[in-house]
Amino acid sequence: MPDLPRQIRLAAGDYFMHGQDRRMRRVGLPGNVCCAVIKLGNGFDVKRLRRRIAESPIMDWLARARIFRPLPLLPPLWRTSAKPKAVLFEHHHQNGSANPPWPLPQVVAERELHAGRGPGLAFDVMRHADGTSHLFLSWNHTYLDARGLDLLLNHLNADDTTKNVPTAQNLISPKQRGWDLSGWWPNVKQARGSVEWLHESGDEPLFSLVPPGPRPALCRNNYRIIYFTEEETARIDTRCQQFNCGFRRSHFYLAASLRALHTVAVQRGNQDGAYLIPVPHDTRKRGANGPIFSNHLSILFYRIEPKFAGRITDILGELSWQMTNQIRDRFPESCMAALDMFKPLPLGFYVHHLGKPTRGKIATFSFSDSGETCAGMKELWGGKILEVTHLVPAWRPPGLTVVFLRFGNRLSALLSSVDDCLSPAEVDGMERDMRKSLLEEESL
Amino acid sequence: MTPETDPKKIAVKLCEFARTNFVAEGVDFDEHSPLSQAGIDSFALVELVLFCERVLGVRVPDSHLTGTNLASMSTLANCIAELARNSPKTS
Repeated sequence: MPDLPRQIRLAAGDYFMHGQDRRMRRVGLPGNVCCAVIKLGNGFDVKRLRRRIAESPIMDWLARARIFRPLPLLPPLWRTSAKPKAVLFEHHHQNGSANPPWPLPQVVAERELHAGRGPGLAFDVMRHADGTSHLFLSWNHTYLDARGLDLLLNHLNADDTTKNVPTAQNLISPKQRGWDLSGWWPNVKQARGSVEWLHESGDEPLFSLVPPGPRPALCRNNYRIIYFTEEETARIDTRCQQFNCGFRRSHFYLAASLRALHTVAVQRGNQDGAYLIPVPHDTRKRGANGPIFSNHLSILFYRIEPKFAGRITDILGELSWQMTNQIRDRFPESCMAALDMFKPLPLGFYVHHLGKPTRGKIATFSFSDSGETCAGMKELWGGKILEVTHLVPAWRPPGLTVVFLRFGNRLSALLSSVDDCLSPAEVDGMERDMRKSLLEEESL
Repeated sequence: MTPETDPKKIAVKLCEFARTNFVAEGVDFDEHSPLSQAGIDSFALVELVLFCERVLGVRVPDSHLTGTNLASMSTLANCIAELARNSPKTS
């Protein structure tokens, strides 16, 4: 077995995800736990998957890794415990129909995956009478991001004899950003730009979905998935070209999401607050395997005034110049330096501190475009991949997460919301609006 | 700064920047590689555009970021060279 490091530095993105996990558990949500739902065709060999999990040094590492703080006010680390906590693996049979897998089986929905206690991952397989299966891969977001999950699937699917199997050493990046006394002052200077910008944004009114009042004790996450057919996806691609967004499809998706949310704001009679939207970006280099473990992200923050939020072209214009300016001003680096700087803070204080610039609102909603999932993979452990969906929970605040994902030639959008922040009727309205913006000519 | 007008030299610089910043080591990437297949996304594109501004002295307007111009580093270099030739000379 390759020699993997016993401990690595916790990335700024990991501690941020851990903080969000804490924030969610405070309102009764089951933590920052995502679930990839993969429908597999006949031929899926569960034993092969079990074997690969048992043999994989990466899985062994993941099963042992816990967040650990060596001393108070020292930055936390990922450290592997001597005793591995087995990655959970459950196998169920279902006699009913293979479609749809909603709501999630209770055992999956209630999985307890915690970065402080481990394990961070769990596999559930549900066999259907027609020979197809659903694989539910649940993971705590503190351990890995969406691209990391894709790389993990690729790693577990590869046979030893396959060419170019990445070595386990390459798949865990020990090169996390450092935090020591010599780097502290440069970090503070770099972080200042984004912190000041967030404070300025927080001084102006911001639109928030979170209702005022005391924190509720028990919230629930609701998921709505908008599936687009191949023909619809091709139409959306064409419209991206029309808007000159061929390389900026995510801008088009974000514009459609924001326009839909603006309609909700107008219906609520709240048109004064600007929309603050953090958008993560994968910092791995393209074309190679890259590290599986950890959250490799940087963040862009868009602030869109309500007067621009009603028209797709206006939103796209705003997104374009704000993105260029932020990259020019090295805002994403500044943001990550700020997150890195606050890592030594105890988790409760860290969570409180992150909300301070925006007076606890954090953002209007979270948006991400996961791009193509399972790219280049036709089958997993002998079963053809028929459908892939990522269920990403909404944090509270902000109460809404929108995730776009592409599998094969089909696009899907996930609207993940917290029940007290967005009503089912408002989610219906958002779905209608998003479809209209993405597909119909007249909504330019 | 006098902007570079030779498309070949521009393409070499663009490829070098891409290799350093967003294309992983060991990946086949040259001026004719399709940018979409190389995983160039919106973020990388903006970094490229800013590199053109900073190092090559050419501002690439949004209207020029078309599918044709962004097919490969070679086509982007042609577009930049064209813009450089038409831009007023600055000292």
